[in-house]
Amino acid sequence: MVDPRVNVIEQRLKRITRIIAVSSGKGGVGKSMVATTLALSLVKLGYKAGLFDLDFTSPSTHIILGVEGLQPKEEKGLVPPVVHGLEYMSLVYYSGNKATPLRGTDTSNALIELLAVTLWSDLDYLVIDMPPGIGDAVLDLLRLVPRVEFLIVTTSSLLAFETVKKLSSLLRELNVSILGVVENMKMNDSSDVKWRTEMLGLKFLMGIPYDPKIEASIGNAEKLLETSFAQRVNSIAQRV
Amino acid sequence: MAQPYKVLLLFSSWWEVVFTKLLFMDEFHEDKGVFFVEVVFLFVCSTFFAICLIDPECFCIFMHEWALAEAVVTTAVQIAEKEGLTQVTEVTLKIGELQDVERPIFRFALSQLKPPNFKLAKFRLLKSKAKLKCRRCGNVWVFKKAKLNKETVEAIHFVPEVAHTYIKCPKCGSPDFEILEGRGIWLESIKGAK
Repeated sequence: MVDPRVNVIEQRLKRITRIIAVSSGKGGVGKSMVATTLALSLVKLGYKAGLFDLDFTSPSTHIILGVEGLQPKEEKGLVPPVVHGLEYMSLVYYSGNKATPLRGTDTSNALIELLAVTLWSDLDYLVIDMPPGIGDAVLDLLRLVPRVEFLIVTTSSLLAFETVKKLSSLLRELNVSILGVVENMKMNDSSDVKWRTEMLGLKFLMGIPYDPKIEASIGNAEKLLETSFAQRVNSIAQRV
Repeated sequence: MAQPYKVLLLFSSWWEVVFTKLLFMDEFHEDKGVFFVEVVFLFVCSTFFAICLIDPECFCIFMHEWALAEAVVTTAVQIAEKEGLTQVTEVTLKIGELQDVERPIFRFALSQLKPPNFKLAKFRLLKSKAKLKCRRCGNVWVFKKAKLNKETVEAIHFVPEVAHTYIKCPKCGSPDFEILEGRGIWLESIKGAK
């Protein structure tokens, strides 16, 4: 027996120029915030962009964007709603705010299903908010979308950076493009992470200081884009 | 998941009957009252049919089953090429009850999407019951959509894995279960001539 869905994924993504997975080895580094703000910044720069939340068990981009009461349109597939200029897709449309406990095979199946039935339009960029770690979602994405490029988010913590080493090493072994590393929630002027990143032969994209105003901007995209955090992410968007 | 397309199909069938009657009205009716009713009925049906032609999407016949049908046809074409089949005569699919695919739409989409070398192909759609097994207590049960509300059935229809959000083991209440069979669409076999 053959699962037919896998064979249509390439066709579904062929109208997208670049696919950027925002990833991290550890949770709590602000990956969803970076992914959402990056996608919004790309729209602000005049690009056609989409955002796909692949963190099925703990999705949060819908909260950052303030998405409520929207559903994809059924039209020979699922057409993602446009939110603040972004084509936005998430499992949340179907799971609501309830817990969705998924094991590995379920995560893979949900990912394949959404990739197979979501009809993205002609996009310059599709930003994917990945779940933390090197789990099923990363492995499936590498298998199903081999041209994906990774942007790795870390904090100043050595513990977080340790996982950057593992993730980047896996991606390199598989010849996957790594756009660079973003150091988020910087608490001081230390250039330690920058130095460590360059020692790994990776590009250090930006150090983003901790912005206490960011919490108040959750759910309000316009307010989010006015923060100093967004200004930094905007300069990353101009360089990717 | 709305089903107005069924109304569309029904009306189209009626329209055909009325059209046939009108062609042979002299033979059927001499009563002008009946003739008038039929003409009005024909007008209503024709309008409906015209709307269908102008904007078929308003009757939801282009539902997300199309995307799944496209995946089936793409895969079937690849397999047929690999096996050197010049004419495909039969494609057998297993349709899991969990996803609750709308068969008439799915069949219609398959008929519209199939390439020329599938012209003679018959699509056999086999039903596969959704069997779930609790990972916590080992209980095995069969999914019954009748026990769920419309919104839940619809959510599972789009992404069957959200079943873990809404369905619990009837014995121990755990959402940690395995979908043993009957999840979605599987291509079981292809027959044809080389």
